[in-house]
Amino acid sequence: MSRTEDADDELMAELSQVLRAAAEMPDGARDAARALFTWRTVDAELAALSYDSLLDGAAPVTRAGAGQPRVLTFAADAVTIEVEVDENRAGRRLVGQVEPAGPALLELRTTAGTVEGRADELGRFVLALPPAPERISLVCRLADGSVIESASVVV
Amino acid sequence: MDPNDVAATVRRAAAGDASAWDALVENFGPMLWAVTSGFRLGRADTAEVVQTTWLRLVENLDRVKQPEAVGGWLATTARHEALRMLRLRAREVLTEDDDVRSGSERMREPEPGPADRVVTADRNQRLWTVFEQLPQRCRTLLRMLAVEAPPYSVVGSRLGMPIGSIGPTRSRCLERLRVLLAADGTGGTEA
Repeated sequence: MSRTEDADDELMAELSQVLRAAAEMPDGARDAARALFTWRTVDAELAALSYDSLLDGAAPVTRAGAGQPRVLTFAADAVTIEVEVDENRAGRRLVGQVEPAGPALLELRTTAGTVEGRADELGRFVLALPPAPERISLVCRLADGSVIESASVVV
Repeated sequence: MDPNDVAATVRRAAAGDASAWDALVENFGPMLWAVTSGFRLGRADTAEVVQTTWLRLVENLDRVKQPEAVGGWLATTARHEALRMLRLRAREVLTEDDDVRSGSERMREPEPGPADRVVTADRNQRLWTVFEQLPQRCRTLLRMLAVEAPPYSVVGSRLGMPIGSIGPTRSRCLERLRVLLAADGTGGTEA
């Protein structure tokens, strides 16, 4: 076999792997992606995920790192929400802080439903998390009436 | 979709047009699935990462800076989310190990490291992007040969090509692909 034929076969094999992977996209994935459009919120301001300790640094997770709680920050224009995933044998909780500090009503949206809670005068809050990681988002109603919705993230 | 169509479709979706959103899913869905599959996360986590990536686009539809480059934006976001998923899973395994403290639990099949997976996913995306730039005739032929790989007699009758020209056409199309790949070496995929 000539060198060109070898190179052709190699490229063909790579292409085949990509095109087959694409062809394997389940219909369910397409339907789920389409359905997301109805999730668009126009009445709340988005707080983007601006920090996730899971992605902090290039080093893969080490045994020591596994003991550190995961920390995430959501940032909107004038408000940030910082949360820590607190895990122990009793369960998993989201321990958070709204900045600037102040009272707020909170909703934790999970696949199973909504968990409600409130932040105290110092902006601190605790919300129960589902037992296993799943996609969640946080809705935060501030005292001035504005509504902030966090980006969704698997926590 | 050409870049102008892509930009216009993103803007229509941002303005609330659900059919424009469907068109984006239709156009970029397979690419996103192929890129994410490069991370070998398993089917359920691949679906989760793909879904999270679409969700990021929903959240950011009116913030995407270069709507014509939304394909690159999606691929970059998927890489990011896949890495997050890998680390989340690695963390779970480590936490479980600490709980059970069982040596045998830690004996696992060697798996590709995150860096290898990023390389595979990157390559998948570049290959997909340049493949899309090939003429329709090349794409049809290569797709048929790459995915189903039927005998040349079947390819010939389906595409109305003489059997003798299939091999040379395949070579020419692959050569074009190679040239496009070389030209795409800039890595300019950030949106």
